[in-house]
Amino acid sequence: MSVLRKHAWMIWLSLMTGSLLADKVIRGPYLQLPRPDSMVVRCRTDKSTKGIVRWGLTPATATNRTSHSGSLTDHVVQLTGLKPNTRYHYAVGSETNRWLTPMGNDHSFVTPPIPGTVQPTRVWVVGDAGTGSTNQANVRNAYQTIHRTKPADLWLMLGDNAYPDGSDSQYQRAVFNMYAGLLRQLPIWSTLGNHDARHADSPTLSGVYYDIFTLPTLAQCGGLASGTEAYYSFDHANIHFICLDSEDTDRSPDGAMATWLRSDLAATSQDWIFAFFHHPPYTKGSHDSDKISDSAGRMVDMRQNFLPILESGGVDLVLTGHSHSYERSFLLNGHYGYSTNLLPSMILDKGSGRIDLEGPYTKDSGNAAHQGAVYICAGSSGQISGGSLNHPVNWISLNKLGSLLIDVDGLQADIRFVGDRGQLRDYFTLRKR
Amino acid sequence: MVPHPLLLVGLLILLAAPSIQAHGPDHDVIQSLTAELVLRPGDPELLLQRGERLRVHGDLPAARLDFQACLQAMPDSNHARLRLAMVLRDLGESSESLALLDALLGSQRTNLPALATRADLLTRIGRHHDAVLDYDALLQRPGIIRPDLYLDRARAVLAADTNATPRALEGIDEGIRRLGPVPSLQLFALDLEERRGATSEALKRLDLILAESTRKERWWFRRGEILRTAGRPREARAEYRRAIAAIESLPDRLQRTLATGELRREIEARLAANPTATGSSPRP
Repeated sequence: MSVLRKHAWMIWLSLMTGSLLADKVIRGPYLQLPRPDSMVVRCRTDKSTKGIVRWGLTPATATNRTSHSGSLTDHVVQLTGLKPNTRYHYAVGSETNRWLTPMGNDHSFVTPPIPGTVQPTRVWVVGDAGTGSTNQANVRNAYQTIHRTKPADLWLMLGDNAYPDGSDSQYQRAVFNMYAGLLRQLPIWSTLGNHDARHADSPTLSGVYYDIFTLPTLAQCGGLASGTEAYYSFDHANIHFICLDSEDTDRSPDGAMATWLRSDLAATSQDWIFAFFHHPPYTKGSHDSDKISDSAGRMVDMRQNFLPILESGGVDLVLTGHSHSYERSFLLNGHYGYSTNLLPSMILDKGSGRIDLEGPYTKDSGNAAHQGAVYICAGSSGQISGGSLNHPVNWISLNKLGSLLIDVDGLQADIRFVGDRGQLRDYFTLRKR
Repeated sequence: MVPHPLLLVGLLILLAAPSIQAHGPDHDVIQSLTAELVLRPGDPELLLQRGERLRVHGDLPAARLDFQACLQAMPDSNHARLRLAMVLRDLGESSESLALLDALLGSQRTNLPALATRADLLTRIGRHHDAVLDYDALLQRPGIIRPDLYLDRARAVLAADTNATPRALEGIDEGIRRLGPVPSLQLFALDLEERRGATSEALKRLDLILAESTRKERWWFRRGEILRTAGRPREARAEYRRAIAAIESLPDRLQRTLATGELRREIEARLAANPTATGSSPRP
């Protein structure tokens, strides 16, 4: 009893500060399924609880509350009734009615505009980032410097987000701890990499990757319903994004993914079409897209079966990872064979695409078929692994760390590869007439 | 200093075993597992890990050896049994693969990856009836929601019995109810309806797709094609005209694209080929 009395003040203090009740956010919050009228806020707490999100237009007026049913550690709360193109502030709380995250600018997001709206859009892209290393942190820091001036509107992950096996603890280290500040503000879209696939299974849509990400199956964010989180599409402003699963889904030309892709491409009216998946159709980095045995032929499958569909549908930009290097093509069309089969006529513009050199790559507006696309392998956001780096479709190939920034404004897209110290390592422009 | 003999053996294995060499980042992991196996020969966990890396990497003969060695050390490992069955299937050793899968599913009826692998294997070897049973079992499970499986089952149903189109369609519709209006399923069903000459059913399905689509021109054209094939040219013409009108209502930049231009030319060719169609009267 005397012991209890002796520590009574400590118990009282603990109760007052909530430390004995403490639910703690140990993952996130992070943002998923961004729509002009809704946003999914996800997080993980150390104890099962009912997750609540308080939100509003300013921290002072954030009085709306949304929660999920049941008591959980992994919380998925969809905020609805939002306005497009609007910044919202939010805090995550628990059923004990205490707020576990602060309310402020770094806990806020901007909803996407109505699809088709023409307005400046910035996309940040990382590939094969998940090493949890200083390299990954440096690439992140280089982006963060840019983010402070003009943040991205959305964020793409090109797979292999957590090495070596995409386990929950590896995701914690390489994604949630590494990018904690950015995850609270930028919605992420991801594609499955081969390392993620070691703890995930696309056929059964199960495992860590599918548990972590909330991705559209019913065209919730634009595009056409794919029926699966393994591949999907969405619209942001005047850009149509297509995510394919090059790792663990049927890649045959008459498979469900290819059939869906044809329909999805035919249905879009957006000015731009950007596709992303993990395995590069053209690389001579740490992987070789000419070798059928490399990655069990996935790179060859994507090149032979999916590039013709994408190019017929008018794709503008194809983003991939897998090789831990930066390889960026000329404006290219119709190259579905091996590097030795490349014909000069397949390179539609032999220039750099740089406005200050030979000028931008230019295409007709609309989604004209076979007007050329630029292919970028950007798998060096966490490590570099060399390679011969001499694929002839590429205007530039670098064994350098970095991430991609894409700025779309109307009918012009400026793409930059930013190094781990903020160096501008490559840049080019795509412009539509 | 004399190197440890085991390390020398390991080095020799690494140098002399091209079949376990990989490319890219997996290469390092496979090498490191190989080195560990030198120190712990026959360790089933290491063999399983290396076998899986080799399998994913496409080095199937080497993966097979690892899984076989793993099963010798750990005969009850269903994980190793499944992986070996997958490798054997991909190597064309169907009977061996099937025997392993039968044994595995005999003890674990709800092993979904094993069911999926066996369904695929049975399809490959032409045992379509049995494949359908496995697909049925798979698709009854709450966790499985991949569109491909519904297509695979429908194809197996049709391969088993060419007159089983209604059953194949039922299966596809089950997928649409579960997954939503997924084009890969809707279009497959539409093709089946057309192939069996069920014009009104095909049109009903097409109308559902049309209702979901923002770009309707292709679907009006397809409607026209179905009607033309069904010997209803006057109605077909009406649909072609709707397709042209849909194209003309698009913004300029979309009308000018190659794909839209090609579609328009195709429609206009159809209209020109039959300028005063006098087929049957329009039907609802």
